[in-house]
Amino acid sequence: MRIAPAMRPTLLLVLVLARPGPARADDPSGRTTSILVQRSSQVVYRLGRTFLFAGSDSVWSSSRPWVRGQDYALDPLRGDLRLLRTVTPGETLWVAAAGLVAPPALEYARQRYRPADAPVDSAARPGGAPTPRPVTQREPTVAPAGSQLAVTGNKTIAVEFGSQQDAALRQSLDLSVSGAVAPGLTLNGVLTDRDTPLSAQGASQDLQSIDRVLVELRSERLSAAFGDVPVTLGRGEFARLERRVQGVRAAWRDPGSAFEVAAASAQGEYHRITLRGTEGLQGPYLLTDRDGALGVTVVAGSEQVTLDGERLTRGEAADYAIDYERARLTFSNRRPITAASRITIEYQYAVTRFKRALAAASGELRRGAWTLGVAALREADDRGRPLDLVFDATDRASLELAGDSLALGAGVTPGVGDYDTLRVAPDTLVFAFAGIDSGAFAVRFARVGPGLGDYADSAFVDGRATFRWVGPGRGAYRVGRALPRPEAHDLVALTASAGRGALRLDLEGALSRRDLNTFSSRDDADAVGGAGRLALSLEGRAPGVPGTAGVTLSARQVERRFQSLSRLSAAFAEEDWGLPAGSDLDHTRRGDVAGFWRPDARRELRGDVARLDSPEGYTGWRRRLQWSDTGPLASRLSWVDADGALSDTVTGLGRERVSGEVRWTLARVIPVLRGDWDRLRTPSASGRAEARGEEAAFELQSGASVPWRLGAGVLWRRDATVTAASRTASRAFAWRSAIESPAGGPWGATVLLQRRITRDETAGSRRGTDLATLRLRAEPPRTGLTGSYDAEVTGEAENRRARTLVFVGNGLGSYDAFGNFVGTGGAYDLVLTVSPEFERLTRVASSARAAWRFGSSEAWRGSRVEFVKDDESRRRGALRVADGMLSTGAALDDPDFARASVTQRLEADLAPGSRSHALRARLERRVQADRSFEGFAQTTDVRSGTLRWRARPTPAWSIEGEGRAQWQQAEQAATSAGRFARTITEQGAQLVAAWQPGSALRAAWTVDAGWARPDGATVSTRTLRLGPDVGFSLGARGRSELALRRAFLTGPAAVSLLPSADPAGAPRWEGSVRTDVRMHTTTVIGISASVRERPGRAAVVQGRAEVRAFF
Amino acid sequence: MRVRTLALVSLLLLPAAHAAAEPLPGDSLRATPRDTLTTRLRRPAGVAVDAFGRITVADEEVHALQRFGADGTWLDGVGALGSEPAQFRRPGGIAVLGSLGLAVLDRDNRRVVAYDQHLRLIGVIADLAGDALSATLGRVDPVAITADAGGAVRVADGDRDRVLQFDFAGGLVSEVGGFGGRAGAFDGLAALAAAPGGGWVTLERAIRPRRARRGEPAPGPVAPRARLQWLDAEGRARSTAWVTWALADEREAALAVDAQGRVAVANGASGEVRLLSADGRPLAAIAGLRQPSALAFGGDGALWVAETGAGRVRSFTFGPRSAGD
Repeated sequence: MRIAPAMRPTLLLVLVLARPGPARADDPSGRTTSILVQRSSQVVYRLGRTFLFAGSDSVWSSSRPWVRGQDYALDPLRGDLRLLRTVTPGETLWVAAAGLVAPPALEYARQRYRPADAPVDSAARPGGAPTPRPVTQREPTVAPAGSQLAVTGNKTIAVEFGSQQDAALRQSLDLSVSGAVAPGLTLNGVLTDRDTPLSAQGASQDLQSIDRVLVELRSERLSAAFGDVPVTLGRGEFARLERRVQGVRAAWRDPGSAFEVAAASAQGEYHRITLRGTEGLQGPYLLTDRDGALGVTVVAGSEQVTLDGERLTRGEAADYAIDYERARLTFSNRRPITAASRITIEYQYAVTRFKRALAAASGELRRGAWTLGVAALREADDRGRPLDLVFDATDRASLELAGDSLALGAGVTPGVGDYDTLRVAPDTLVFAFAGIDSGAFAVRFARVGPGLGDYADSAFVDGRATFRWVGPGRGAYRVGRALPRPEAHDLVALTASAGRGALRLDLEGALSRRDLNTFSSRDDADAVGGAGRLALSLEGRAPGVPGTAGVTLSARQVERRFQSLSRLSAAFAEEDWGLPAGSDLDHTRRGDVAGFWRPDARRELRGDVARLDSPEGYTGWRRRLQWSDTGPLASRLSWVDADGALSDTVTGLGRERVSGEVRWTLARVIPVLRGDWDRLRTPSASGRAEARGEEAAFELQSGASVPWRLGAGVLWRRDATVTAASRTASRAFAWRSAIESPAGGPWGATVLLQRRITRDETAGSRRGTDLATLRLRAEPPRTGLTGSYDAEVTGEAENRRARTLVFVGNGLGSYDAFGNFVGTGGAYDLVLTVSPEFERLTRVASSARAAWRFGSSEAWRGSRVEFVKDDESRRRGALRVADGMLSTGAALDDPDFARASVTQRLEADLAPGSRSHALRARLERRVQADRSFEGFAQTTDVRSGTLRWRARPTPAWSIEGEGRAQWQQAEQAATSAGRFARTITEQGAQLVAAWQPGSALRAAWTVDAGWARPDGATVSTRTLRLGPDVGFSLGARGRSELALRRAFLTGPAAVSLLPSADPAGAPRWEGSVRTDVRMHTTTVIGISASVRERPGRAAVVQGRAEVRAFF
Repeated sequence: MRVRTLALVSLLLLPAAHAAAEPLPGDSLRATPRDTLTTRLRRPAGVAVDAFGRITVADEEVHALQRFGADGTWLDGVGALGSEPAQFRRPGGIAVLGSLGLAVLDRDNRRVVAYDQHLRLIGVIADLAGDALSATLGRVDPVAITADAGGAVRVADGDRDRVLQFDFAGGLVSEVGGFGGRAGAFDGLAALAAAPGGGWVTLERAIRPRRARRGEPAPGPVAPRARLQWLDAEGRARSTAWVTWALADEREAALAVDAQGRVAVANGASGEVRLLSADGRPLAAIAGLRQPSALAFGGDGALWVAETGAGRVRSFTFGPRSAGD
């Protein structure tokens, strides 16, 4: 079609005006569509239009339209869109709304008329134009810019009831808050509060209350936390603190200053223990309170563990695992423990005496070359809030009179108890253990210290510690109740440092006040002590000397009465001076001259000369040199020479030690050579003892260019201790190898093996310890085959235990002659005795798995054949290689196993996708043996096989049939009762037919038939169980599930494999019902009940009602 | 003439070009890799992210849990091979329990254990191999777990194709589902994830195409499909969606749901993760992963993927596609 030239411009104009406009175009009706892109932490968006027509708005995203009132809210007057859903950063929203084409302003201000020639001077007129103030500068009904918080969580309230329990209320609250409270200030907080009966072993116990609050506030300079938080102050030397607390902590940092405050309830008391390892024993190492008592609970996350001076990290795959509840620490195989291992553990154990509060504040100002710091700390017991006890007037009086000494309250209560009196001399009456609840007195014992008491601890009987009289001054315990003394500890420290060029001066002074008994003013005169430190250092480039060098002169004095909140000296530092372990190195007077030289970034030489005077009278000198080179041929050399005397008669103390390491880093291999020569002279009962140690080790490790990590090494060590009266010596030889493949890939191997042989040259004995970690994996591609083998070998120790059965009369006890709990029909009571002695065990855990997956068709995809073997054993004695793949016969018959278990399972899943013949077969054998109690052994052997067939002939119908067979055997042998054995054979079959026409209804019918016969019986117990399972929707808001079973039993009564209080066999009637109804969009009410009825017994009914609200 | 025509054409095209620069309804998202965690990981098989951005990973080769800070720094770990407390045999799924805790599926020990935010063992939520639950439920073969904001735990039983629900105190509440093909029943239950508001989402590995009815022509070959089901807090199936994947077993499937209801599905065999909208429409895809076996969304919307075959955990963020994508 030809277009006239004159029309072309017109046509052009029409086309331009008529082109489809962008989504933002206004149409004559006033309806516009705005496009928003969601931004993180912003929930309010201004549309740019006001006076919108109510109900004219619609919002949608790329996935679906949004619902007003549920997903968003719109302020039609101001045109503000507020999101009610969690923000999805980056997601696009379209908002369409209609409104006034020319909306009026939102605000009107009254104006005063002035003639044109009148001077306009608002400041001169009374009541002039108001000065804008921040509080009126923004819309009060609109949230401040940059503040959006999202709150989510759940509240559940449940009531449990039943025929065998009182009604119990359980509740939980979980709350999570996150977002911005102001521009640049973010808040993250969680709260959880619930009662739960969970325990580590899975059995229900008393309720634990779990209350956790954690709130964090962060900005560029401010950080604050509330809840379970760590508090760490590290300024200076005397005011260091590291605690795990429940409270609030805040910190402010800017380039010129730093401040930190904390106020909290301390979760525990700080304590440090140092100990030497036990040869070949990875654990458990027990943590105690400061009095050496066991049974403490360690505050989670409060521990710091060092091994030979190196800080360790938690994790079985790292360095150690810790059981906080039982205060036990076990080292992983990565850290083999020997008799030469030096272990330090700093931790907090849960407060058991008084509520304890902590307050800390510190600040630092930096101005030019000067830095000033101050720290104030207070940790105090609240004497008005003792835990787990109540003070009476007599107790308070004892505490007021005791001063800082031990206060004892009354410890004897006449009546039923564990002790009776015993006359050991004409004028001496003592207490003797008579048996649990078998005596005429309840007696408590207090630990007063070795040599200060008349009693010693004996054994644990039925979980209780027992004590025996040993004579005056021969024990560590006295009759009485140790009264806890509330303590208070205050500390103030000032630090100052100044630098000018190469010169630097550091000063620190501190005062502490420690009151060991705030109930009493006695002994408070010596509560205050001071400490001071001065250091002058010069550092820089010296003329004619390459690199940098420096020298430091320092002096430090700590009064005996000064107490810091953490230890001042490093663990085992006393050994460097020739002092025995546990010597006080905190309260000393000391002067040091130290220097260093760094010729380049890789190398450094350090040396120092120091003199020490200790409060026990030790005076000594120490000289040290340390060289390190971190280049490709890395080396480290250390020399220590110390000598000193404890008194005029105890002289010649000290240490000489030379240790070094050379590491040559090549591309493919890294050889490492280490050596250590040590002579340590410490005081002993016979004057002086000398500990000699020599060690040499060689290792080869793979280099960085080798993708696999390989390593092998050997170690020789010789130790001897020489005194004037005796000599002991031992030698050790160890070899280790390590292989680790790269992570991922079809093949993988991690092998870590170590064997250490220690020979005692004095006694002539020999001990071998083994540690091993094996992880082998193979997954050849495109074959469907997979295989893996994992094993761990460690050395452990367990308390020796014994079971004692006490005959109390037929029907008067709860246990049978073998210690099986049988309820009210027993004739015995069971007493478990735990000895404080440990027995060494070699623990092996392994897991082997082989599988073949095949099938590519619709029916056969997912088919598999799989074999699994899981073993676990604890052997008394050295490792045997066969323990890594334990046989069922060895587990059952080997008397050296304290415990052993083997599970073998072969499974096949065939044609799982078939509509008519999906099969699953399983053969399993589980063997367990328990010989951990002296005089008792128990073994069980359960073998079972099942074959299941499934079909789904139509979408609505499904059928399952299963046949089963089981053979189970149990044996018990007790020194006092002889032998018990029982074997039960069972066969059975089950058929389930289910009909589900739609999602609203599901109905199934189950028929189960079984035959069980104990060995020796001629007639089987026959059980037929049948009944329906129905599930259906209750309208649009609810669902209900019903299940019912009726069992018909013929033949003799069913028996269980081991005697038990629980009845054997199926209940005659068994049913359950559950209904859930949604009351609100996010609130659900659920009610459930179950009933079990057996002939001759009362029906057992249990029920639960709960309300769950999500927000 | 030629210039005017050119001007006319450009004016006609201008609005079209302008419209193409704006996001259109149904536009998909782009996944951008962000962080990678490898420290001390061998075969990660479970991942969870808590409210403070800390990541906890279950490693099935080391039989332990490893915890990382929000900045990716390794913090600590817990666990060893065995069946004692605080030991695992092939730990798998992890779910945030309530607001601060963790629920861990100890697969071969057949139990679900609870840990607090310090990785301290709280207790056993469900001992599926124990006498009490075995007598009630029979044999349970747990393949996946999930937990909601109230601390309730759901366990997917691959043996009987049912979901077991436990309350926050560890009490068995109900069984949902069973073997079947209709919505509300399961066939090859492989993965499970909690959805906002107390609901949950399941993934089944293989749903057979229906047979032809009488008189209908036989259906042609159908691509293997896996089914997603959305269930509400009462256990009613609300909707379903299909993913054209062939999942052989639960090792190759993983599921996660974010606060918006978007669903991430992983196929370990094909190395692919797909992001679907709350109603099942595809939004984004990530390919080239090495056996992704666990998924978790962080509070910032990032998706964490545990790649068992590569010994690492990676995170991805999703953003709108630009015009150049």
